[in-house]
Amino acid sequence: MGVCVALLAALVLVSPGVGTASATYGWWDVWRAKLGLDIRGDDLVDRPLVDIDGDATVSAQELDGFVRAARSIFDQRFPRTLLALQVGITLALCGAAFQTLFRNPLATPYTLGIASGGSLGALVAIRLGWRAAILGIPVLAFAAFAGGIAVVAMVFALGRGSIRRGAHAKPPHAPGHPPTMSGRGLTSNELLLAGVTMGLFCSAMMMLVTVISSQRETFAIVRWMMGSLDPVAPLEGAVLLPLMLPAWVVLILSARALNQYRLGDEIAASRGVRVSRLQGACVLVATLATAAVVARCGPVGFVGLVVPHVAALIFGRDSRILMPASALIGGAFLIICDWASQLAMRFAGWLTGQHLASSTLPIGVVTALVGVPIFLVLLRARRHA
Amino acid sequence: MLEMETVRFGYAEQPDFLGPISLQVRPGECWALVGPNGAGKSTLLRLMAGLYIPSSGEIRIFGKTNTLISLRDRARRIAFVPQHAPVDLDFPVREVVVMGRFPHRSLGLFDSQSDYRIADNALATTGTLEFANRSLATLSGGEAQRVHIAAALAQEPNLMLLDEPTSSLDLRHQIAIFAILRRRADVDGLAVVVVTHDVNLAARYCSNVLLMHEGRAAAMGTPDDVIAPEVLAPVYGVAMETLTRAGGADRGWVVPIDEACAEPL
Repeated sequence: MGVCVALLAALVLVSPGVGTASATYGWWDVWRAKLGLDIRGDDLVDRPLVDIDGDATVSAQELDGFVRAARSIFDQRFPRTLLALQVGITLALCGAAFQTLFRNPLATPYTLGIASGGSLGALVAIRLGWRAAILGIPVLAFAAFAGGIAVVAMVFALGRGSIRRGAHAKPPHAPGHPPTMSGRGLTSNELLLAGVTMGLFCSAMMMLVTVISSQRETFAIVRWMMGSLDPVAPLEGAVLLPLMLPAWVVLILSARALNQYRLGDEIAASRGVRVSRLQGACVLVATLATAAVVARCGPVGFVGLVVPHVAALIFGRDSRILMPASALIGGAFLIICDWASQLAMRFAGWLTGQHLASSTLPIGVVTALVGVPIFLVLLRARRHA
Repeated sequence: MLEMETVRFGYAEQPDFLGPISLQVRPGECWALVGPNGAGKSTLLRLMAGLYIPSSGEIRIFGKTNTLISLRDRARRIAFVPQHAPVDLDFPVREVVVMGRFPHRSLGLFDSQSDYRIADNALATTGTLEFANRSLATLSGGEAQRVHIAAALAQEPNLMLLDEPTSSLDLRHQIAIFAILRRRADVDGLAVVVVTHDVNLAARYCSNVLLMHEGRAAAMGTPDDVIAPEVLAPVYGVAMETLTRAGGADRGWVVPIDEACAEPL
């Protein structure tokens, strides 16, 4: 576990040096520029970018220009790193929690329909041409957030509609009869089904909206759904963190109760776990955090599904270890995927001779392409162990 | 310790399913709940555990009613072992048993040394210490059932409620579990309520028996009063007789007459 933390810290430190700008600014240069450490002329003598007048010495002006450029590179890249960290932690943690809460290894943070609702919200905003920004954050993000929350609310409203009047219990269940999720007579499987249904509904609505949209709008939503970590607004960190932090705290502190929950509703309740409160609290914080991720970055897939399994293969299924481990591995994973998304286009450009270095591969594409081989390797390793 | 006063309970489809039932379980008593399928034994057990709330009547634990006792207090006093506890969990067996210490937990996420000691004792008692480092999923059904019983023992409750705890166990371990429970009752003052189909083990190891039929108490008393052919036969719907050892002074075994069972249902 300590290895994980160290690895993550190392990734965060190295990250500002990785990116789409030219190789002139190595990672140590950008840190020195940002931290105000001295950069001397001798360090820069062989860099063509600096020696403008070709006289093999570096003037104070050129030095100053170099420092400023390096610092601005840092200011572009470091927020990406922090965002990747936050998103990775959130998605992996929520994925681990949902896999436990739904008692289903295929559960993801988007299982209740947050991604579908978010995408629909974003599409509506695009179609209606909402381009304004509040606090620097585009209205599109608010629309996506609202869409995600609305879908989850509807899923639970559907569940409540089937409350049984009278006794709040069912006959003691035999094996094969799934345990209840919300103490309202709705099983975990039924909630999953409701989430999938709402997801399909949102897809249908999106198709409807696309039919009446222009080509440019359609491409905009397709591109949005691939996910993006590109910087958007200066204040977004302040808005995102209060939405994500409760999830981090609540889910990790619930680890013990979640362990009990895995033994079944009855044993957990008999040991003093308030099952419906646990489910409600976890779903609430996870929904807020995931909706925030979708609103900011689009639906980045695969992280919430696979990272918890990878963590479990290494650390076992004790939630007290699995949850923090998933968070750390998720953060590290997404930072690495971000590097890949920035470098992939540069690599492609180098291969084909075209200048593609300034664009990035959408993060959602990278998480899938990078994640699958890793997962397959670990799965095989486990089988041979 | 546990008092039930004219308790009634029902489901949406059957509002008068259970009750009225009144009984008292005192420390050191070992109760058996017997009766045909669907008689309400598991339901009654869950009412005792606080998993269900009666539609009328009162349940008191150490004098405090359901609403007054805190969830954690109840968890410290009452352990519940359901009939179908999960057996395919990929958790180490020792951890599953230590999880029984949850109601007594201190602040902090991890268990203490004394918790693990208590867990190991419980494992030894049920004969599952050899599995301590294995995953629960690798155990057979009966071995896993003994692990869950060990977890309940580790909980160190005042009252243990077990729903058919011997259903998957082999002959030796069936007797062993009843013997363990009776010894705990006699020595530590543990109160035990066991739902079981084995009327003879119940008769040998339990101090009190409640026979249930269609949600009502058909008979309540000592094993001599209840575990008798004339009492059981009308309830179970099959003719029964007592077989005794030649020259034996013990109570013998109450068994159903096979030919009677072969009749169409």
